[in-house]
Amino acid sequence: MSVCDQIEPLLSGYLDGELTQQDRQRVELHIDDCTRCRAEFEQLRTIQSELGSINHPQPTEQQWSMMMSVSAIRTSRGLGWIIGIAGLAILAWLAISKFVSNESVGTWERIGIGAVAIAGVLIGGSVLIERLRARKTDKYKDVEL
Amino acid sequence: MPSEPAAGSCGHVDRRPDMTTLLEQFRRKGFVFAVYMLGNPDDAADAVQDGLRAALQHQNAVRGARDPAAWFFRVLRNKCIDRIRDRSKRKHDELFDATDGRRRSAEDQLASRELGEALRRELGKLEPVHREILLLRDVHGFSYARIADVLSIAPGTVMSRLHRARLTLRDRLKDQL
Repeated sequence: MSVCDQIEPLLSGYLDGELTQQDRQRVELHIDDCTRCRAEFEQLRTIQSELGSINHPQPTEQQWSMMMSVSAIRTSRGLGWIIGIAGLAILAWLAISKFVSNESVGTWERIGIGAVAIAGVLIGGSVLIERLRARKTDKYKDVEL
Repeated sequence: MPSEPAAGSCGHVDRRPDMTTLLEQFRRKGFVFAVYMLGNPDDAADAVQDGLRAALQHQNAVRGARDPAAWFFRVLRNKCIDRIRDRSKRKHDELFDATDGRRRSAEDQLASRELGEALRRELGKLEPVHREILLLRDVHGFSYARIADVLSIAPGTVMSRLHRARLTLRDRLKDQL
């Protein structure tokens, strides 16, 4: 194996500054003397320099915004949930306070309506939790029938 | 030669990079990688969107990663490979024909412009394994260690594969060099 054959595979590593000090010195000494290997090194350097400086394809405005829409959708959806839940909580609080302070409703009626409301929340909540758990572990959730 | 991007995370919880900033970086860098890998800007935008979605779904992994950019490029590369495998036959030429005209500027030096255009064209025609390693090194400025991380190959393989890719490109551009 000639010296050129040994040095040639190291030219890219030399170009990228990724060689050990010993290999770097070997390459430097060789390309100082060898016209062919020096020419090859210069060609590789030109390619690298051009690749780093040319204008690469850029997305159109539509493609640009489409790529980021994934986070915009997620953010707006999250914000929607927060605002919706906050609104429901306020309405529920108002309804409960009005119901409790309403003297025209009898005690037994209050207990009955309250029990029904609590039962609804408990049953609805448990169904929701079950659905959410199933959604996380359902292998077929993305399968379209 | 482009400088290597900062790794972005030092492992301390309070200094983890902001997700919005990361997504913006991923989007900018990811498109150039994907457009050369897939040869089509619409497919590239789709692949980047998939990659960003994966990053959002795994925010803790991304923000806690030693090198968030390497994490994203690994995912994006897989998205590109999936598309290359699945899609119907499309030609690379449409990308380079469509975008070259838009990028031409009067101030460009003629020789450099011709070489640049030839480079873009030939880069898009290289084998995907050669294209991806050249993009990571010469366009995105990744170190050999980061490239090995993204491509899941031994660090020692990076130099030889990169060298073969450069020689292939050099051989195809001999008239312009």
